[in-house]
Amino acid sequence: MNGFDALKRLFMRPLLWGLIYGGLIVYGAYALLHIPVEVMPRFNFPQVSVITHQPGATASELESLITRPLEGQILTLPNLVSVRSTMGHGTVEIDIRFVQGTDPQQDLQAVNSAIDRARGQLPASANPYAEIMGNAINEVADYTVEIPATVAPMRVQRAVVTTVEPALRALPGVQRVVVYGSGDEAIWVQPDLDAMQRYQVPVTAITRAVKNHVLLRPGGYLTQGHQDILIEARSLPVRVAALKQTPVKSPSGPVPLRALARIVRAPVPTHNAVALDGRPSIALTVFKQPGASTVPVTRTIEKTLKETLGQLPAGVRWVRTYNQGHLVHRIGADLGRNLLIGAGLAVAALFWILGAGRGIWALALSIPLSLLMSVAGLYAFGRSLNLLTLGALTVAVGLLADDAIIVLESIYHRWEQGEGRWEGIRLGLKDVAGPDITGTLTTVSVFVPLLFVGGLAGLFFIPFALAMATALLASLLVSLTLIPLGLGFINARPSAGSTAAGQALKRLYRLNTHLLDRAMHSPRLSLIVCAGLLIASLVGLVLVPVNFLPLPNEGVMLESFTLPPGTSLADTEATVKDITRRLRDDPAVSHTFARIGSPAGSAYTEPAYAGEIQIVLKPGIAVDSLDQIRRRLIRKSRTTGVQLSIDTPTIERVGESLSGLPQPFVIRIFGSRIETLRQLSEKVVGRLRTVPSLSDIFNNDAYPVTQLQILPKPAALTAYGLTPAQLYDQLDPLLSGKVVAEVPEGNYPLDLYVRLAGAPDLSLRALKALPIRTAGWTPLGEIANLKLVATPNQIRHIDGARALEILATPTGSFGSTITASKRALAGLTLPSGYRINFGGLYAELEKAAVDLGIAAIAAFLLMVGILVLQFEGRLVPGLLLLQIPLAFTGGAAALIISGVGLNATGLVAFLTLVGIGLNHGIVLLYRARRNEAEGMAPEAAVREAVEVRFRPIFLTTLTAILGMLPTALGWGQGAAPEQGLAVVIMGGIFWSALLSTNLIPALYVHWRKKPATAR
Amino acid sequence: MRLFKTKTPFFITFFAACGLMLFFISAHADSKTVKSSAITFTSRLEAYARVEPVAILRLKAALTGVVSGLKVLPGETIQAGSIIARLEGPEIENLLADLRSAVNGAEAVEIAARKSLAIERRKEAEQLSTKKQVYLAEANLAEKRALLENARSRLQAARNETILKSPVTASILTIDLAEGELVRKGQTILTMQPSGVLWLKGFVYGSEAASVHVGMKGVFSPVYGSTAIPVMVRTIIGAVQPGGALSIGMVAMAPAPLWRNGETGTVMLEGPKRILTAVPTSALILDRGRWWVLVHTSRGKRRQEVIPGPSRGDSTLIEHGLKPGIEVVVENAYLEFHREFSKHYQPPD
Repeated sequence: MNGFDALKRLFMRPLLWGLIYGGLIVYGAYALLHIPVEVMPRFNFPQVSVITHQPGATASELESLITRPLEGQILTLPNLVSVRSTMGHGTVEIDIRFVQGTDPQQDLQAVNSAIDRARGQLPASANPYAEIMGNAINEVADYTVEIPATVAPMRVQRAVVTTVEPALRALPGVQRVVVYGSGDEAIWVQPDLDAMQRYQVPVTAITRAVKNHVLLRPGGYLTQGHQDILIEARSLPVRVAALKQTPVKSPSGPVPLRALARIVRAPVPTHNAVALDGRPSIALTVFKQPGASTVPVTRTIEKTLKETLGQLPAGVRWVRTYNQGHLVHRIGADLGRNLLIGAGLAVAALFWILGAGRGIWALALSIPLSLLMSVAGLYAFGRSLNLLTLGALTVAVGLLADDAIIVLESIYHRWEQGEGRWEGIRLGLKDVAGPDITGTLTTVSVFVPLLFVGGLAGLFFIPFALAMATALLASLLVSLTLIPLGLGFINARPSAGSTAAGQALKRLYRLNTHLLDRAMHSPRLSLIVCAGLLIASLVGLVLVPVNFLPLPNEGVMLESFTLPPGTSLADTEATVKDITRRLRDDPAVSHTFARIGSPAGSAYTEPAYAGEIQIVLKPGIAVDSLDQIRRRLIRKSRTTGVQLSIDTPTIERVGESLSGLPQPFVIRIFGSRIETLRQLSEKVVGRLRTVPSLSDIFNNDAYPVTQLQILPKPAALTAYGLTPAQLYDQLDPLLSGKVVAEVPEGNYPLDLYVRLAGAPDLSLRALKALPIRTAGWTPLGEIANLKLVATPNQIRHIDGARALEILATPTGSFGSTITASKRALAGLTLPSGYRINFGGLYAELEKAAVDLGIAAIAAFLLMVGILVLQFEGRLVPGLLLLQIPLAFTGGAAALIISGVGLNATGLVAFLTLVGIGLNHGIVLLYRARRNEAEGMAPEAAVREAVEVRFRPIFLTTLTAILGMLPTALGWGQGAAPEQGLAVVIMGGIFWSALLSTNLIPALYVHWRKKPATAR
Repeated sequence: MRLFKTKTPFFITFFAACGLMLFFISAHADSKTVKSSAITFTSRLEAYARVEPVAILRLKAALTGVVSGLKVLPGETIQAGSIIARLEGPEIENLLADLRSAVNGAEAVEIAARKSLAIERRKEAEQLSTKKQVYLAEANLAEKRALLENARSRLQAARNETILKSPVTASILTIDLAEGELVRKGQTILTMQPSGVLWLKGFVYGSEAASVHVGMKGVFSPVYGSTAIPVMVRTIIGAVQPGGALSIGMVAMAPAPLWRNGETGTVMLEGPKRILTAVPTSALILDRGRWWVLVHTSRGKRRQEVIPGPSRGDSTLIEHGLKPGIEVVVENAYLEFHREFSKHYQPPD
């Protein structure tokens, strides 16, 4: 007893609690200031993508030059699940999946070291870039430059690369800066074929002369005059005039380069393009570090660009085409404001009903305190504030007051019955501690299994679950410690609320009693009615519009376009110019920014016949008209032969983040010869079209593109004394262009580039007549056969084996579709070494659904366990669990009535209702059970419980609804994603409150009586 | 005066006219089409060509000696007969001295023979000698005179040989020896290119060579700007050059062509004429390694495979697959060709 008294005296010190809470508040404030705010939680999926650009290379060249060396090293890494490579159109993408549970950062390190080991076997110009899947969502700012007509884009790009890019890279929170749009500035040596023939100089002599002319080497040192002077040997031609003098070896002596070639300053030609409002431009894209806060990063980027503008050529202006900070700011500001308003409304309601006593201040404090502590908890777990966690907090704000109200109300009730100060507190706490804890734990138990869901579903559910759990546990702690102790220390006294409130409460109670009588009179009928309403509301859900993730107006729309594979860059540019001109005619559009193809060194993978148009809308566009604008823009940009799709940038980036995943349903054909694979794929597609449960069959990989093959004739090579390598050495600089050397000019590496001026414009005849230096000069057509062939535009490797993938959409279940497809393919004879199998994301999605199902069952069992612990017997737990599906009615009905669409957050809300709906019933039945234990008859016990518990139930429901009201009404564009969530929960809470004060007590009495009457 | 008696025929005509107008507009409303046309096409052979002299004159030394007085420069044109250089030196001196002493000897012998004759004649007058002796003396004198002439002409010839003159009007190409250098008999001192004897040597390869024949006409366009010169094929040289080329020799058709030795350029020879169909180049579409055009028929647009030939300006000639007079889609042809592509290809999502 002594020890217990000592403990009690320890805990009764206000100073101790002041210190504890003071510490918590300080940590909470620190966390609030430092927690990163971004759009999506950090993708920690153990999948790494490696992207390599080699413009101009065909699929088979990419395969042997890049994919095989890289795969050779990557396939040796530990913890691999699958390695999938796609190669075509000058880009290789390798997606590497590691075992679930490995740290993605370590996987990235392993992949980078594999790339380093393979680098020796890769061509010099290939630069593989590895990133963790999901990095696309970290693209926070896109800028483009308005270039006046008198300034060359390559100058602007050079200025940006040398002055702006380093400044941006140095900013904290910036992961990567990509600048593209024009080729690198170079001195371009354009050989003159006639002059070469005249002076008997092959192009290899030209490239050798240029290469040997560039020199920057150390040459030892001299000691003179007490100084060590370093010697530098340099020959760095940075001016065209200097290069013109370069002597080139010829049979009749040295010939100056100017006689053999035209030398100009021009950008290296690239196979991609960027245009702002139809004019060439330079683009700047900035990625933030995963987990960094978006708004500070975008603000410093804007500031840095302003500061460095003076170092760019005159007349150049930055145009911002995308700013994720805007979205994050809106979401944060609007949701934050709604949280504050909701909390304010809830507190106001409390004051109105319970009166403005000192105790109410303690209650009012508990909401912000719980919020602060939940933010601190998220920060401690290394999470950020994003759409999912903020959504959870939005829901939680209405519930945070629940526990505190229950405790406060119970203490007040004791005080009103005449108990002393601390005695009343102790008894009041004892009355409700049990159900309070049970209620919170049942709610939290819904979310705990979600924390263990892995894979894709886990990416979205874990942050939400964590935020909800920490918020609820924080509010539990506050209600059990701050409220009783606070009330005791500040010497509060219950004061009567306003008479108006009191009257309203009494009237409501009377109404409720009527309903309760009705329910008690015919409990089974009431149950049937409620069940019927549930079915009706679920059916009504079908009518509700579905919308994956409605985002506030970002002021930008992203349109992606694809032309038939193999379309020339020039044609694509012309088509895009036409489309953007039509788009700019629309009154809502202010700028269009088009990116065609993917620049080397970026993580984009579009080939030169596809790309994206960012449509910047004029400021002041209303959110409601966004859908209308979208449809109008699609209509305006419609063009024959072009596939288009429009969405908001953040949705597109979420899609890109998931782009490393396979398509839903794929049929894979494995084999060794590309031509055979292509023929087989066409046969397979023919047969699959007969399967009714498969629709939208696309044989994308085998879609043919034209390729020109140069096949040297062995007899001709022997006759002219040339090897294929020597032939290639002459063709490569002439046709595909070669950067022979790099010369530093200031802080910029200037390329010395050799290529025929009009190489892509050569006709097939002119190409056949291209003179090749043999003993004399021989046209290419005499040495090699030039053949136009059709090849698949893409090849894949699945774990190193060559494959083609056919996409399809199953309209039935996965298993039955596979069986039907296998039957359709049964008669197909495959050559030896070729096989077909089925795969795709579908299997994973099914697995995710199963995982979620298991989590749901685990949650259910956990809840049942907690309930059984609290209440003995099966009746009460059974009744309470019955309430769950019935509570859905309110959520579904609210959704239907409000007209808000069903989206991802709305689904999570239904999940949350499972836990929340029980609270009121638990509190009520606990009291009823206690009353019965004290000897009351079941009906009397229940009525007493209802009478006593009516006020707290009413209060908690009212505060919950008021807390979520601003978001449910859709105040603020930033709150739009969470609107569905708030509406569902509001409806569900209201309906479950109604059920717990009427139906549940009635059913309880009915089933309590039954064994008695049966007897 | 009214055109129609009643209003009804007027309205019928009006609407018929509108209908016809709309029909014509709609027939060409969707995409611009062009009728393929028949063009007489002269196939052309292009070859690299070089202006060369037909032959080069080599000025050789007739005597061994030392070159002196060589004041000409390569590239200079010298007239026929002008003096280029002289040969001097001890060998020449010796030779001339030998020949002079031979002349002196011959002179002395001739004087002796003359004196002999005079003596014989006096002796004959004094009846101391016979006529036969006189005749013998006269013959001896004649013989000695001939020898003297011979020696004199040899001396003169040698003197001539020491002066090097240009045999024809020519421009000097290379000077192989310098002033003061010893030249052996028969060695080339300098090479000259006679004016007015340049021709054009072209190089053709493989299958093209079979289509070249003597008498083909063409045009030579030098690389560096000067005007094009019409030429005609005169010979085909059968020996294969390094690099596999066959050379053809062409001469200028105009009397005084403005070309220079060593100029290079392209020669375009005209081959046989053919009648081919021409379409605008932008109407040609390359798909799966084959060439197509979109043909506009009354039932819509149809794909037609063609084999294209050479291009001229904006048009390309079709070797096979299309007759003239067919409507071919030009505007937006490529995207129209691929209008069904969304059924075969889905961009990755």
